[in-house]
Amino acid sequence: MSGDRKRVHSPAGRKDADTADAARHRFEERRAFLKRAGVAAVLAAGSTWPALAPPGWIFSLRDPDGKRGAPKEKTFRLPEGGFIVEKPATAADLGVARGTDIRAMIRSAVDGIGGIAHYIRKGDIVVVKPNVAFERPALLGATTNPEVLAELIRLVKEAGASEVRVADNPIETPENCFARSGIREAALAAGAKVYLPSPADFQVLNVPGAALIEKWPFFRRPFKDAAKVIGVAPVKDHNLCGASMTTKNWYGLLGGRRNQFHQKIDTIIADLALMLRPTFVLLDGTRVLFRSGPTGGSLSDVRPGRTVVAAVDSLAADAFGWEDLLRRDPGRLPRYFAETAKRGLGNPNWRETVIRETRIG
Amino acid sequence: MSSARRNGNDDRVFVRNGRRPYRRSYSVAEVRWGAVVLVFLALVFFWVAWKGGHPDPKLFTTGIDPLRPGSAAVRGPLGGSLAPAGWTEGAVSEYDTSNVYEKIDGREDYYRAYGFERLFFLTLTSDIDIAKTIDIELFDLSTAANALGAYAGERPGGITPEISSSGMAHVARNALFLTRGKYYARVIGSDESPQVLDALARLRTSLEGAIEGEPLPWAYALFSGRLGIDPGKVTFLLGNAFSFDFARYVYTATVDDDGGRLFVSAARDEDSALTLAARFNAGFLEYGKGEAVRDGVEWVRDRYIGRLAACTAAGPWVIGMKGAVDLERGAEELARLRSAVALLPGETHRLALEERRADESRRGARAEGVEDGEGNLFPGEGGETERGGTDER
Repeated sequence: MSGDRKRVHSPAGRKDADTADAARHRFEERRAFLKRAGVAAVLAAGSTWPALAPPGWIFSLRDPDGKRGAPKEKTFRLPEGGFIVEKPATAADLGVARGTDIRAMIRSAVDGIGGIAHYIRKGDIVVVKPNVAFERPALLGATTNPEVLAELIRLVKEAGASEVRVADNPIETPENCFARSGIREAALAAGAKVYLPSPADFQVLNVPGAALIEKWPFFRRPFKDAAKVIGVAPVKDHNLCGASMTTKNWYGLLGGRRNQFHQKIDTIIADLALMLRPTFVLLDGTRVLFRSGPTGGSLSDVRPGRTVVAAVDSLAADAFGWEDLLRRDPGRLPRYFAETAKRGLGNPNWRETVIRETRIG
Repeated sequence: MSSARRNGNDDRVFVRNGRRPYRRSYSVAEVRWGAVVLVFLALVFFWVAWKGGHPDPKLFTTGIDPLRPGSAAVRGPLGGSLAPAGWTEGAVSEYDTSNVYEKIDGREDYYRAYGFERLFFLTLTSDIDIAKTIDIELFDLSTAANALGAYAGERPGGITPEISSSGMAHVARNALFLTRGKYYARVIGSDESPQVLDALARLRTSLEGAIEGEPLPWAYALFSGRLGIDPGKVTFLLGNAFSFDFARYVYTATVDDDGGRLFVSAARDEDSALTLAARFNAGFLEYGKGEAVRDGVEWVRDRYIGRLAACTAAGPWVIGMKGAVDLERGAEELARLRSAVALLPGETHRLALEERRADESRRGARAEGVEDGEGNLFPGEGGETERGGTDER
């Protein structure tokens, strides 16, 4: 230490002291710089890690395809097993009624598959899905016959249903379609509520196992708290899939750009059979649009069918309609029959089923 | 303390106290520029806020006033009001290839197959009974051949159309169907009451006056003019004729009650016609087997329907017969067609090719021609490239 004092008091010593001080200062500065640079580097790496780290790494927020950042749509499922009520063991598979008295025909057809009391319980909320796809008068056969719909509603209400909801998502303007087809007036007169679709009524439905509509917007509002679902569809020629009947009818519950499914129409119809397992269906063969479907337009394309068919198995009902009402070759069933049957969703061999046929009037 | 700090020499590498501004004062110029920037940002903010509160009304218009008949811009070929006395028009709506499914989902592919361009839709309502309506669907199918083809495809068998120099028409119970040039109109009444039928008749006159017609395509002169076949039995198949993907722009004419049909298509030259005819014959043989050769043409009997078919080239034309019940009758009809085609002037062939090229060009089908692997605008005919030459057109 004495040596230090000496250097302090001598000019040379002072110079040495200044030099040492400067060196120490540089050392401190360098250390501080490195420390801060290190902190800055850690902060920088930490802050950019979420963006740069590969997807799946801890704290990674990287989203190369934007899917992670996309809003997660809330999905829902229809009841497990659908809305099916097994038919009584002694009942027929197809209840067929022919004639002109629509009220009696519907009751007879439903009696054939076990009677309405078997399917509808007191207090049930029941959704009835007609085909109201187009803005056409009912006479032209492009939509469900409103008389058939009205009688079906009355029958369901008589069985004790607390509420009957009539719903469809038409291709054209819903208000116009429901009005011009006569469906709205008939449904209201029979005591049902009419549900016209609006964008807020749709929610993404999850259909496990569906090829095309595993997650797809579905007209949900009328199905809230519903216990039973009945489809009532006309018999129509269809430009793309050959025929539109009860299975294709569920297409009217889809939202979104559903027309894209026309590229794979047989697959989408099989998906529809999976999507909605109804309580039963009613094939409205009172009029048959046998040509220029599904829109029709000319009365020359419509012939009286004077038939209604009730069934739990919509594919069997459709196969009956194809052969008996559209009068087409049973050996040339549209492909969707095979696709649907392959998934175990129906039996297109209607002649193998038990049929109870009645003639009324 | 470092000597730098002791000497009051500010260390500019690090600011030791981060909360203290490095500079305690700013120049007047800096303050002024800062104020200018703040004012500019405030103006941008108020401009955005004002625009948000006063959006451009055009953003909300569709061009259609729902309370009035369609404006001239969207009435297209419909012209002025069509409503007969006692009827009121609704708004005209227009659909194109991007949204026609919103109107006729499930049926639109039929019209697409016939060169669909636009659909004009209009509803008339009776002033006496609002339940009585008439829908007018007017399809622009881009060519007269397409319009006639779509019309023929929807016309039920057994109905004989009324034929004019510029189109065809018929009334089927509650509905009127007519073609006029490239337009195909479906006029659909809600029922077949006298009131509706009377309005349909008047609408037909109005539509024929409003829509410009054009002469029937060349094939009508061939089948009807030279062979005397009812023009109502002539059909145009734009593509996939007889379920052959290579068979396009084919005209057919039904010649007997059993559904036997003569057909003709224009190839670009004689070589192409030979190639295309060979493909037709190969196609027929996929479904049957050769039964006889008559006048140098092989006749093939379909194993499924039991009918005979044959095809051959006649100059630059491809002609044939499909669905003949017996060989004699079929060969006789084909010979008649061959003779008639031989008398066609060169101008007819030029018109046929022009009609086809214009349609291909419009529909972007030139690319499809390339995709068929032949570099050929006329798929199925083979191409010069196959024969080692050029494919210039």
